[in-house]
Amino acid sequence: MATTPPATGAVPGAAPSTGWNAATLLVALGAVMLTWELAVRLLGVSPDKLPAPSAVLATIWTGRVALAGAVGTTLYEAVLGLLAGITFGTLSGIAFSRFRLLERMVLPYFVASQAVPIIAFGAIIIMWFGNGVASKAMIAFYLSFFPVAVNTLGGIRRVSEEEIGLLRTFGAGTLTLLWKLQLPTALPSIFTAIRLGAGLALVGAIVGEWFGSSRGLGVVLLTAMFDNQVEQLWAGILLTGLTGTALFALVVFLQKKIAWWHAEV
Amino acid sequence: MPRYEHIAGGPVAGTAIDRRPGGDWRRRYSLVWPPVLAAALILAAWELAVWWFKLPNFVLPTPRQILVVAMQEPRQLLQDTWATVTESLVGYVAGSLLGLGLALLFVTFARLERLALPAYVTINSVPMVAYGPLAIIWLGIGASSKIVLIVIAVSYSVLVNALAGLRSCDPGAIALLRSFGASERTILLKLRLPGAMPAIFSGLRVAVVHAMILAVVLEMLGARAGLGWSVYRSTQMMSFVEAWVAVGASVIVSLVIYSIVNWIGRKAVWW
Repeated sequence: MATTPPATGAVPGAAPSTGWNAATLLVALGAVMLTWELAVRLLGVSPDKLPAPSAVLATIWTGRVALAGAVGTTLYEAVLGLLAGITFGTLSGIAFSRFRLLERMVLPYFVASQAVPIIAFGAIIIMWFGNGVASKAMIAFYLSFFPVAVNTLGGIRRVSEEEIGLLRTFGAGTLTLLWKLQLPTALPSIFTAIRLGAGLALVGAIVGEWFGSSRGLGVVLLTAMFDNQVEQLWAGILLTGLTGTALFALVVFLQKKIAWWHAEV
Repeated sequence: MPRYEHIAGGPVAGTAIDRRPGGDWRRRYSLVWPPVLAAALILAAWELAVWWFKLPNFVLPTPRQILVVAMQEPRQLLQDTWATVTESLVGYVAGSLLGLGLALLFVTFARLERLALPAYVTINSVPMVAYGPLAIIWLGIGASSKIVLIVIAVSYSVLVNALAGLRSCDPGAIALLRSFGASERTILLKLRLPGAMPAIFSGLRVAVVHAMILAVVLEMLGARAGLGWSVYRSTQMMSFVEAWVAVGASVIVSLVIYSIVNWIGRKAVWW
């Protein structure tokens, strides 16, 4: 699930490399869909319990205008929050790297925030910012902000004293150092955090919509639950998965473009 | 490219600050006082801001007000905390065992993996909270809907990490053991499993966070008790201080459970 946290790959051996790429995943997706369709048809499962994928796709097609609007709203909220989270997260990471005391004072809380359900604060954010786009973007913002800040600092710390010394002898100032050396070194780990943050931002937007909203994927899911419309519910689930995957793929694409020298995907 | 990042890193442990024992007391002291000072400053600023701007408590209650309300109905708070903790722990333990069992099965029978892993990856490529409403329809608003989703999420984290750990074994060591006539089972239990322990524990650490978050978020959709339910109920009834109490309680409980898992992990993987 993408609710969910963590930052740097600090634990060696933790990053699982199953060697899967987009093509195998698509094949797998097709196989799962086919099995599902066949199972529903052959076993005669009631559509109230588990609709066949074809029925779900038909539902999506019928409600395509409304559903596209819902996807657009949620995506807008999530991306808005994510962009703010990336900006402020990177800036705080840089600030932490410059002011040791600030880092020591605040960073423990940033790190701890990734081990607790800070998404629950969403309820309070909705009280403060109302039912519109701003409150969901706010939730997406703070969920993606913490990992980006932590990973920016971690990445900047990876620069060695020798590298800094070398650039200093060439007369590089603090800003040049930051722009030419520290940020490029930190980019891969910043992107790791952004990939994580993209998922968190989407979940943040959806959960935010549960607390009060009239539009968005979260609303689609919630109304379908209250009206007991299982097909509509599956349509919402499928679209949420697609939206998340698209957002994730976009981040990976950007990473390959921007941090091409370190594109371990 | 399945989304493994959120599983990979493991949240807190070893990121920027590493609170490993062993440093002298002076070093530890220098790590402890700044966050304590920050907490004191924030609490002071918080109380001051509320007093200075005369903020009503539906905008921002003071920490003291939150504590007072928390103490007013300790039974209710304990009941909600207990509900959330049991849901997440039952789901966590069951999911961990399932994930570990599946990993061992997959490593032993590669064909099984090719059959079952795609389904697992597909299910988990959707954010788990999106299944929440469906779980409520299928399983009702009781604990089972939360536990099932937690089991799925947790077992996936553990499975993926355990698989990576079991696979990352040194082929030379395997060849060596084999040349001594060790059976596949011996190799799995004596070599692969111990070698995979760090990866497995990093999966377990991330998973415990997933479990708590899922429990709280899913309770917001509907539940009979629980901290997430308490947050939802309080905001609907406009008792905002109670929402703060529930949010605060869920944060504290998660930190405690996370620390316990972290501690166990360090004891178990001491090397």
